[in-house]
Amino acid sequence: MNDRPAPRPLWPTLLCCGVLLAVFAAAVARISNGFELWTFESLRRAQAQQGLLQASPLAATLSDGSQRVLWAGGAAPRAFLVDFIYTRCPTVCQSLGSEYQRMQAELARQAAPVQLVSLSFDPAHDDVAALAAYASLHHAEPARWWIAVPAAADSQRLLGELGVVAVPDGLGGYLHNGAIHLLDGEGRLREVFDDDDWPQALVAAQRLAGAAP
Amino acid sequence: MHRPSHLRIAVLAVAAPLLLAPPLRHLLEASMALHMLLELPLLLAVGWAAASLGPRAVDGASRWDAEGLSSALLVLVTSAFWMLPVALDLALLSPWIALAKALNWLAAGAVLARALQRWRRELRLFVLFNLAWMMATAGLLYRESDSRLCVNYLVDQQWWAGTGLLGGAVLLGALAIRMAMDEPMAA
Repeated sequence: MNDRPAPRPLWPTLLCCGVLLAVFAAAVARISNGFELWTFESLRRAQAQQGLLQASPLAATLSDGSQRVLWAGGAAPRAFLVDFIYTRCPTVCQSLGSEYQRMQAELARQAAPVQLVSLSFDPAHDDVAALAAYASLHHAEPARWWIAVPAAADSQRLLGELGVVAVPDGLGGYLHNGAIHLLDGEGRLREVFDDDDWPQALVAAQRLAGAAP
Repeated sequence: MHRPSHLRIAVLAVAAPLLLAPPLRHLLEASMALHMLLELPLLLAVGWAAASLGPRAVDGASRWDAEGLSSALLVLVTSAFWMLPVALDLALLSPWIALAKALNWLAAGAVLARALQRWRRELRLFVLFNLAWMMATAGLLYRESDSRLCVNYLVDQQWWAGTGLLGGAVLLGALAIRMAMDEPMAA
């Protein structure tokens, strides 16, 4: 390429290409956690394990009509296992509900300060009566398993903070990423589990609750 | 190639509101295939039309784009970047990334409008084949994946986007082959 006399020097173009490539590589590295993770969900899980995702204290209405502020940093509970539901959901939420039921039974045999929380992201439809019906369907014990709905704006804020995205599934319902979210007493997201991995979620929550000072 | 300026005005008049009005944009972005195969090319077209409507400046940029190398690289890296699933998701979740996406594609279009005349036949072929290869690879990956690659899109949308990318790849590949078979134009 250099044997022909160029009418103009090539270095500005080479410099331009170098800068472009550097910007491209830096941008890709930035959004892929150093060329390792190529989906938002895997990136979010990596961020959770690094403790980078923090949920603000969340005011919510429980299925018995009472109000509570979650992960406000008090003494207990030290670990929350949070899933996101909407009570009209015919499929995933119901199977997750039965997994929560099994976790509830496991927790009943131990004294670990682990709190199960099912949060509705459908405040428009999920009122106290709907939550109470869901609680009764899944035999939720009010002390161990809170089924709650925050205000619409707070719900949006929480989903944003944790990187949970609910999209219409085309059948009148929703689908969202992640299933069981382990949060510590201060609302920091520690780990995300799929539905089937509830035993691991439970072990991790118990470890977190036990290990916390 | 000469194009009447009312074509450019039409591109701007149709595409700009579609891309700027949030409800219309969200309509496009609700589908992965439309997001990738309509919105991104439209942004490129708007950048192109806007730049070619403006006064034709002295060709000073060619100093930074000898033989069209920089502009070709810009088109290739822009296309590669916005085929990453995480980039598509972030463009929907972060307003800053959404802005970066729009500026990136507008800039690529604007640069291309001025730079394409500097591209020699070999470079055009190289870029076309590269784009076709990239789109085919991404399209196959999107079609084959059983799990959701984007948190904003469902698996069947992913399949359609992959199919669309494959179609685009075939189209660009065919264009490149046709161009390769044509006699090179005399300089």
